[in-house]
Amino acid sequence: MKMKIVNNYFFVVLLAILLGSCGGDTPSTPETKVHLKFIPTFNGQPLSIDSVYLNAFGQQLRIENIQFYLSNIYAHNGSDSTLLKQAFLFTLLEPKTLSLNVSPQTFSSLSFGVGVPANLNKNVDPSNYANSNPLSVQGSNGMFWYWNTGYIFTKVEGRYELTGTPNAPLMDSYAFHLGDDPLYRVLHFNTGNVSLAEGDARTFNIEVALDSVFNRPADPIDLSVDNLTHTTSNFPLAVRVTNNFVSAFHLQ
Amino acid sequence: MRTFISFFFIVGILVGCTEEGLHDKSVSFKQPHYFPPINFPEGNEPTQLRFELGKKLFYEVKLSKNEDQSCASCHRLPAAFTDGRTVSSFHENEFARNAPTLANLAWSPYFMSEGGVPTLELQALGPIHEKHELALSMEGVIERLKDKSNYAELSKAAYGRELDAFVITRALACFERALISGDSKFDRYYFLKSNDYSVLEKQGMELFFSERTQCSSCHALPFFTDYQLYSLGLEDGDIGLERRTYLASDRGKFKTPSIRNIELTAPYMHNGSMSSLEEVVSFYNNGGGPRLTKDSRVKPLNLSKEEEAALVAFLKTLTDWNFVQNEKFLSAE
Ligand code: HEC
Ligand code: HEC
Repeated sequence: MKMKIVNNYFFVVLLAILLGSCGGDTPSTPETKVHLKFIPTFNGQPLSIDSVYLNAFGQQLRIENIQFYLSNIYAHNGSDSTLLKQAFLFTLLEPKTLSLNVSPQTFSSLSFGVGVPANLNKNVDPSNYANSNPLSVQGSNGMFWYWNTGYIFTKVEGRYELTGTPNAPLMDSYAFHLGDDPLYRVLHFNTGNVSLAEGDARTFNIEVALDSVFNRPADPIDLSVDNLTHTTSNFPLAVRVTNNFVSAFHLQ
Repeated sequence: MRTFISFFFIVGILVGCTEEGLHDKSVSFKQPHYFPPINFPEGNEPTQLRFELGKKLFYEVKLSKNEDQSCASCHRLPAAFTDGRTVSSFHENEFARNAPTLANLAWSPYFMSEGGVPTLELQALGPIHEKHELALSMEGVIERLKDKSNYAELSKAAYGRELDAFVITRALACFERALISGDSKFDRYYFLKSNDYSVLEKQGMELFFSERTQCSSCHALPFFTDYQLYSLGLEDGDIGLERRTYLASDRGKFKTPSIRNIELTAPYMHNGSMSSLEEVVSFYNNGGGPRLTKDSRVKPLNLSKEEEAALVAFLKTLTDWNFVQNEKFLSAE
């Protein structure tokens, strides 16, 4: 019985592959475009990886790398929700606008998870995804933990210096690697009423205010003590940095 | 009937994909009748070419950054797929671990000392990427191997697709599932009723399976592990299961290792801190280590010197010489 099921699945999968490769492009349904543009900033100015910033403790820092997953990106209209994209990986050094083909519709808010939701995070095998999928082995671009499988939701890395002396070299590194199911957070943004008819395109600029990571007034990060977490190695710090990071997203 | 048709359909496709006429066939791995059947994951049932491809990859130095290490550098057949070193890989610079045996992993419900990897297929991704193991990347590996025609051909014949992360992890896992070891002196005595056990070995066996030591409640038959995670009270910087659960009560808990072939897999424990079986047995006899999370079964045993020696003698009957000399598991090159 088990064997039979296995074989039949195999059959269906193979058939799908064959049909997929034989058929031409699928007929296009009427479409509209939604672009989500992520704009990293620090203190309201576009982020530069060469700039030195100050945190609330007068320590100097540079941000050299940020990567984060967004997932379950939905548009909402009352109680109706449309899934726009399952997962997206933002990389500071190769920033991409997320361009989505969406059927004509009306919505009043957008939501997404920062990180990867539990059902896609644990007990999944990234080698099952095509390379173009951000959750695949190659697509994940270092955002996967192999010793305790699951995705790294967010990486923030760079250098710092504690004295605050102008032009002092930034000799030390900090790294925040955040992940694991308890750190998944869902954010909602009101867009006002958006009506998209065939052929329409709409761009949403989403500011990622990275000063929040270090300087959120409720919980500033003192780099002299809190400069490293791989989540499991310092879970309390990972929770704090996550809470700071998710407060960085603003729809402009 | 439908099963029948789809089966032939698959064979047809696989054959159709290989130009140079490599033919694959399904195989079953030889195993003792006292081991339960293996549940092979869907899509990675064993075949001749999957095993061959997996073995080739296991011994492939191109998997490492400097082309000087393979899986077999740390998992060597004569040492039951361990490496004799105290520790040989590191986790994000936090702590180092001893390389465990790869025997009988087909039955393991999860992998690594803290049990955080659910399948052998997934486990194979780790060493390729980890910077203290092979330190390359899947992209790098595929780039290096894809132009080697035998890899391309084997991949298509074995899995019906180009060499990619899916194929590499499946093939390595297929090879590893074949590493079955259950033909030791103990097995012949206990399961096959042979008669060549010495008095000391019998005494050691009785102690091992006794209420007094409770060794066999964790190192349970037939694999000499119940696969659960416990603390023996060993204290070092490695917090074990706590890294996954964030619970202080899980500090220092590690997956119970199989102790088949234990004579060949020194040094012992997750950190390789014990160099001989005598040392391990006397550690247990003295009640284990000081960590508070220690399992209640690990307590002073009041074994005499002779009883300690008997336990060691018994542990040495768990060696499967046919396994560690099986040339099928050695690189063909
Ligand atoms: C540098 C040495 C090194 C190399 C190279 C290496 N390993 Fe390992 N391996 C280890 C160590 C150390 C562990 C234990 C890690 C732990 O428990 O955290 C391990 C654990 C494992 C496990 C888990 C066993 C269990 O019982 O849970 C498997 C499976 C494995 N390795 C397979 C491989 C494969 C396949 C390769 C090649 C792709 C490989 N290893 C390369 C050192 C190595
Ligand atoms: C509570 C469960 C438990 C009991 C009881 C127990 N063990 Fe263990 N044993 C383990 C665990 C867990 C490890 C691995 C600990 C580590 O790596 O830190 C281990 C490790 C070992 C090792 C080293 C294995 C290796 O590959 O490094 C040997 C040998 C061993 N035990 C033998 C025994 C003997 C003999 C007894 C009885 C005197 C015994 N064990 C009782 C759980 C147990």
